[in-house]
Amino acid sequence: MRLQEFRHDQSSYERPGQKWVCGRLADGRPCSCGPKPNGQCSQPDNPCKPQLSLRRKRNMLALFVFLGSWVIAGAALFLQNETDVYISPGELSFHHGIVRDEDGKTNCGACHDMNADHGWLNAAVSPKTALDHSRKCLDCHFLDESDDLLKPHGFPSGRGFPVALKEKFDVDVACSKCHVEHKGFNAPITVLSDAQCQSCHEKQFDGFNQGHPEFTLYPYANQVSVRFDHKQHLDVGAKEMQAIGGKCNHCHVPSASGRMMKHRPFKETCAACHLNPNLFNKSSAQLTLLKLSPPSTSDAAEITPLMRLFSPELNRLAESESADPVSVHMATRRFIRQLQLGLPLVESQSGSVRSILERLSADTVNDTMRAEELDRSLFYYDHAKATGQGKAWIYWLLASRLTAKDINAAEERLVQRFVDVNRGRLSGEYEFFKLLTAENSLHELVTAAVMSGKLAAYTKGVITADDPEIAAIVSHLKSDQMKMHIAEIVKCIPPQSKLSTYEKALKKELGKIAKKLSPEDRALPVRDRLCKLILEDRGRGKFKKYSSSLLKAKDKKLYTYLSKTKAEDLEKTKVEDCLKTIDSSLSTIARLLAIEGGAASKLPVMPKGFKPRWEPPPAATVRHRLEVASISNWRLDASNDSLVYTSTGHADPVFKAVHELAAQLTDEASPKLLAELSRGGQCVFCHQPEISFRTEPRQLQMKWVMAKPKRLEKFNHDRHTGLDCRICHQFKEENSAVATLFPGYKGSFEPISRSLCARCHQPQKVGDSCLKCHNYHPESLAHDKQQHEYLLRLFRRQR
Amino acid sequence: MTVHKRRRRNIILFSVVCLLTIWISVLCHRNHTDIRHFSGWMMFALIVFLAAFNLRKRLSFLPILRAATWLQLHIYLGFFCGLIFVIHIGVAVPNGPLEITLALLFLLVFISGIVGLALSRTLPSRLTNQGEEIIFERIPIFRRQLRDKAEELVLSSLTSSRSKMLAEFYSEELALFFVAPAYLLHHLFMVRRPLNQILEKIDNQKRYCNDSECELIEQLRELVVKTYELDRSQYLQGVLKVWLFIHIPATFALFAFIVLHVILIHAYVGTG
Repeated sequence: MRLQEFRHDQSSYERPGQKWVCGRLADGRPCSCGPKPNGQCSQPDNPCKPQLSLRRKRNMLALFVFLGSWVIAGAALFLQNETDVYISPGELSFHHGIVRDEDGKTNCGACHDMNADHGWLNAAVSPKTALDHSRKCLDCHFLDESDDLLKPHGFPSGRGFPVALKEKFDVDVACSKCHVEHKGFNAPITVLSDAQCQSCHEKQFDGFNQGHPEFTLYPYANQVSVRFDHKQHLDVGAKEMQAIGGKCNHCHVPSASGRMMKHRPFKETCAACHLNPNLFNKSSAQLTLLKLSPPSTSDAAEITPLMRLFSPELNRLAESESADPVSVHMATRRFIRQLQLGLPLVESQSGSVRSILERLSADTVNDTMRAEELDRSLFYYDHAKATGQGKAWIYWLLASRLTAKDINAAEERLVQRFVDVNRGRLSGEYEFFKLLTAENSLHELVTAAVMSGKLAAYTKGVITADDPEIAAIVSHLKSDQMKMHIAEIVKCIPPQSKLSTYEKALKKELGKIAKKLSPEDRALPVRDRLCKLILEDRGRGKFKKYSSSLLKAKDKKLYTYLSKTKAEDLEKTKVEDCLKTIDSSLSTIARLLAIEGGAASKLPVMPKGFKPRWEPPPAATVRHRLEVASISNWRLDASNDSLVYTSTGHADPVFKAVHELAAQLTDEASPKLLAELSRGGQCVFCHQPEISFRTEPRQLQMKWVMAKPKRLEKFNHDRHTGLDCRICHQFKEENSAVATLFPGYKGSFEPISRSLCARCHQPQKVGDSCLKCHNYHPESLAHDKQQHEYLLRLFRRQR
Repeated sequence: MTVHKRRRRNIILFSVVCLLTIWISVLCHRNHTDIRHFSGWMMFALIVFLAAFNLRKRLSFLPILRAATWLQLHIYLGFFCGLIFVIHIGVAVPNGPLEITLALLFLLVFISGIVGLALSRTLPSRLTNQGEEIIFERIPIFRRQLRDKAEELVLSSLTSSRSKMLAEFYSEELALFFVAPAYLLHHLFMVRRPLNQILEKIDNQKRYCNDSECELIEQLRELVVKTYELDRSQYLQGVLKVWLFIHIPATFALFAFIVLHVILIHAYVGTG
């Protein structure tokens, strides 16, 4: 039975592409005309409901799905934030996968710079997107300091790199060019292929031993920092050198990372010979900074290069043709005076010697400015009493301000120190002057008030705090800035030192005695008080009682006098004379004297008629201190009026500073000055200066420590242990005597050849890929530590 | 050139191209060269070309190769696109919902395409072998005709034999069979069991028929067979049309996500 006939007169033409079909087709009885194109039935009588054709249904479904997809994807994008991972294309590697925000969620914004307005549309078409994202990488990855971190190898633009193709070395390279993320947890994102490295390099080769450029002077292309002749030292017959027996590891040890072969400290290696008095001991080396020439000589005054270095006035005199000896003498004296003023500061700021020396040699600072600058920082100075009194007033006023409600234990100590300074118990602390240097305006206000007599009047009660000048000072003291400065100073105050047994005993006894003093006696100056105590029978007895073992040791003169003199013979003037000669004991006793009830009152009440003990000491005291040189290495040699500094030993900071300054002079002056400095056989005997390529014009610079490893190479000594050092480091055949001052000495060893390394670095042995020996990113030693610490902090925060 | 020879040639050519592509991708992987950018754009171009097949069929007047050639290209390039997809993703399976949806859509399109290819290679021959080829849109009409004939026969049996046996048998066993198609899976797998069961029932019923009824029931038997064949034809042709309801809309959705993917990649990675 055949159902359908394919004849033009027996079979209708089906159009499956049309939109509508008759509604009765499903029933099997469609009309012959079919629906209209607009979807209406063509039968007016008993019309049907036309249906969409199959193809039409399919097309509409496709359109609906297409539009729906856009809606869903768009909604997901606009609703997401930086921590959502809707669009993550794959799992992050282990290194980046651990980066989380404070809530422990993945933060896409940490690496991808997307702004809040969904700038991804703009970012998609911007050619700088990859580079912008690369800058986000640098937020975490600390690379070596460089101006152009995105340039190839991080080298600054314009620096020609002979190995690279010209069109490649000045182009920014995005991090994602080589480091591709989202490739899975264990993806090696730091691995590069040799082909990738060679894509920028002009000379291309097939392997380390097939075409790699030959080594030139590796690793001795640069000058070494210390002129050390290995052969000479190993051939020496000294007992100390024989103990080494040619062992390299006696002096050389690998660093923690293994990249550098560091040198053991001077004390452990070189000092055995170079501090030996019989050999090369230079520890007593002295540096004569300047010498005061006599004013009356007719000979030309000698102005050494070092004097010219430190004093612009002397430098000008040296350059002028009409420098008479008197002018030179006066200029030198002025400079010495300024150095005298500055020396205590130098002592307390041992790390700032260089800055002090630099400051003193600045051309723009004239004498007046220099004095004022030093004045603010000094303890001893010979300015007007007003200034000295002004400082005392400042202390008192500050103490008054600090005795307000919110005073803590540290500030209490500060108050006590204010009081002690005010009463002459302490010799002054540098931190007070830091406050003054920070608050120049306060200093000026107080000085002006002192000069005008307003402060004295305020103390006496003649004027009140409503006075404009006093009000200005008080308001300044109460300011938040002052409080901040005080807080800074409080931090510097060491905890109260423990008293010695002697001091404790003395304090206890003196305290008991002092309680019995009348109020009038308590107002006396320290010496008067002490005299009165001693002259009182009960006080004298107490002194005698325990002084046998304690006072004897400390105050021999006083003890002798007191023990051998009868009470009725004790004279006030005698006691005072004894006390005058014992400065230190007096200050100790004075400090320990607790007059007001055994403990210092918190209220530093200015007694009636009290005058601040702030008299500047005579210049002789300063000179005395300098000559004694008991607390510093600076010394003013009175015999020839020269300022001399004695080295503290190897790596003396003043010597280092002087050499560094000398090296910064012009090309002509530096060698001459350094030669003069080397006469004593000090620093430059071993440490040779080198020409710096970082300055223009090129200058010498002192290179005290060994050079850092080459930035793009990563030879690791640790991995090469087990080999004899002499396999790679072979002595030069010719004599390697170190003769002149600046020979550019590069060491005693022959350069290492490529073929030597190629013995092992082959594909079938240890491998010869580029990354085996080279870095793309130049690394510094600080980089690893910084990065490691940062990652540790991140990791700990997430756990 | 015969179809077999051409097919063999095309398969060999295709295999060579695939092996070459795999080799290149392995080399790039060893050299740590990231080819996702290149493979992504290649996939995009392939998908555009594959989707253009639908357009080509509509614009049949254009002299741009025959539709049969386009179909061949569609098939081979579809497989090639699957290979490129694997290379593009590599071992980094996406973990974001958007990217996972994109990958799933592609897989849906790919797998539905393979299924459609398999169907289009097997079902037509079955349709041809089973007997008369019926136009899909006319099947409901012919079913109606067969149903009407069957009902006519049953009604005539009432008048001629004056027995309700055939009518009762029809209403109980055959009425639903003539109303709507059934046994989809049986038809897909060319299983005749339902038909055999019905015919067996008919044959069993013959015992109770007289001569006139036997003649009627024999005609009814022919109608049943014809209806079964019609059902099979409807189902098989229906499957050949329905798989495109998955393949084509999924392709449209894939396009939407691809465009979004391209924008986001360039926004988050850059243009190179």
